[in-house]
Amino acid sequence: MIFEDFIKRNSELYPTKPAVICGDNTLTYSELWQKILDKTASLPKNEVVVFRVSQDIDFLLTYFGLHVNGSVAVPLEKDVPEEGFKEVAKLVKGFKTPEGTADILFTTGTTGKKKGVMISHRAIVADGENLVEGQKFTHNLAFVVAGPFNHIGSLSKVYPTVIQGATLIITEGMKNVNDFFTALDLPFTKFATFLVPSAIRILLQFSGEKFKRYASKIDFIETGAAPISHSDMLKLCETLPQSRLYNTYASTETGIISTYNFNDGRCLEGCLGRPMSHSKIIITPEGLISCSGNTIMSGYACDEELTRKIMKNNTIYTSDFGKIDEDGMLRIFGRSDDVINTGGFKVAPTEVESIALSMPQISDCICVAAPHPVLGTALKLIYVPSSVVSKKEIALFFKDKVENFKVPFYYEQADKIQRTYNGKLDRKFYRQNS
Amino acid sequence: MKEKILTLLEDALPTVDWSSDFLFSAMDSLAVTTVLAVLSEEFKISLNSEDATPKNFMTIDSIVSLVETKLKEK
Repeated sequence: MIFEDFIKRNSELYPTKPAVICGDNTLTYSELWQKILDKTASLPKNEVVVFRVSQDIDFLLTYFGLHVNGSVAVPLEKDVPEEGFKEVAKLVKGFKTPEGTADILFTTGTTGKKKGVMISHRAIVADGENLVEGQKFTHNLAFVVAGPFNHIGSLSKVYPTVIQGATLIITEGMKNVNDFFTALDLPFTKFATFLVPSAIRILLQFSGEKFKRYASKIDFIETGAAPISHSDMLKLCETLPQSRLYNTYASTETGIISTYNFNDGRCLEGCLGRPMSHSKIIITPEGLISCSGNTIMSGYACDEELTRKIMKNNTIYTSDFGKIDEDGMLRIFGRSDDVINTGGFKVAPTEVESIALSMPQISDCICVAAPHPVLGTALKLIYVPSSVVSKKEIALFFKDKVENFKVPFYYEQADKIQRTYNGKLDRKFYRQNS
Repeated sequence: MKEKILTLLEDALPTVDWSSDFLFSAMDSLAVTTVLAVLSEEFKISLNSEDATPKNFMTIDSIVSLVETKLKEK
């Protein structure tokens, strides 16, 4: 079985039900299935296909069509520079994926090297079923997609929505908040959405009053991908008192694992709920979270060594510190590695530093996490110049080489960079003094 | 006024080409929010997400006009 079988089923059960809406375009389930079949004619069969995501219906037709054709979808960030696109295409060219692979989703590793996470059709269905059960997706729900499709946070919500024969509404996210509110004006009685914590901050800070007016229509909101501040959790509960507000533990590697409705009167900080039916959580003796079950990845594409490092006996060993509390709920404390989470995207500081050091005008640098009023955490580059260089020059140098979220937001010139006794960058020093 | 706004925004968002005639399409949600935050704080005006329309954010001049309008409303 593949996930697209649900679309075929829905085209027979609910042929006239709106499946997806994007701007002025609406496709019913029967139209969606027909368009997918039409699209398959122009898509490769049984190949690994790399493409840039677009925030529209065509992305879904390509994504579903590739699966129907037996191909593996490799959706990349829409602003990925050409160099990065070619690097991924070269990496997966001719790669023989394990039987049943649906997607390869690329994320950043601790070293900055791209990691291709292989997701099976079985994992996609399990993610969908976990969410249907854990967050009560229903047939009459309209789910507003407000984030990029290459990110597991938004892509994974396509699955439960389709499984339930509900409706997807695609928006461009928080860039034009008016579009987001326009989506909530559509004639549906129940809406849900996934918002990274920075998007919630944008709504609360710049549209709080208007957001409140939609409270009765919002069935639930899920957040995740980055830690949400307790003050924003409380504010969101106050803004949407009747809605379910979920904080979810998930990653590209583990799939969707657990979720917690923090609008339960307790609003527990750092709580991510109980594992869902397809998932299991075990805390290692070192206090790190490990996950198993049907949602986990099949491994990293073209990197068996890296796969062995984090995956043993179908269990993923994460770098997140956590514990299971007395109610059986997962509590998270932070990460054991140096990866920085900015706006829901993970960035390896070493990748940023290596790009900065390739500028002749920079002799030494370190990339650190700095507090940011909207993102929560932003990248800051502390650099030692070898000749005169402006913040703008450095930022533009980055822009040509990496995705936008990897371009440092803050810049600080320094006389020297702190190092440990053996010459390594002293990240601890900067963490304590940020 | 325009020079002051340009200096502020160039400092906050150095990768944005502020001479563009299609500023809104060149920005992401963080850039749009940063503009709102920087300008509300500097000019003590109330800007919200609904002000961040493609029309208001088309060019640096349209952003300047938005600030001027908000200042008059104060």
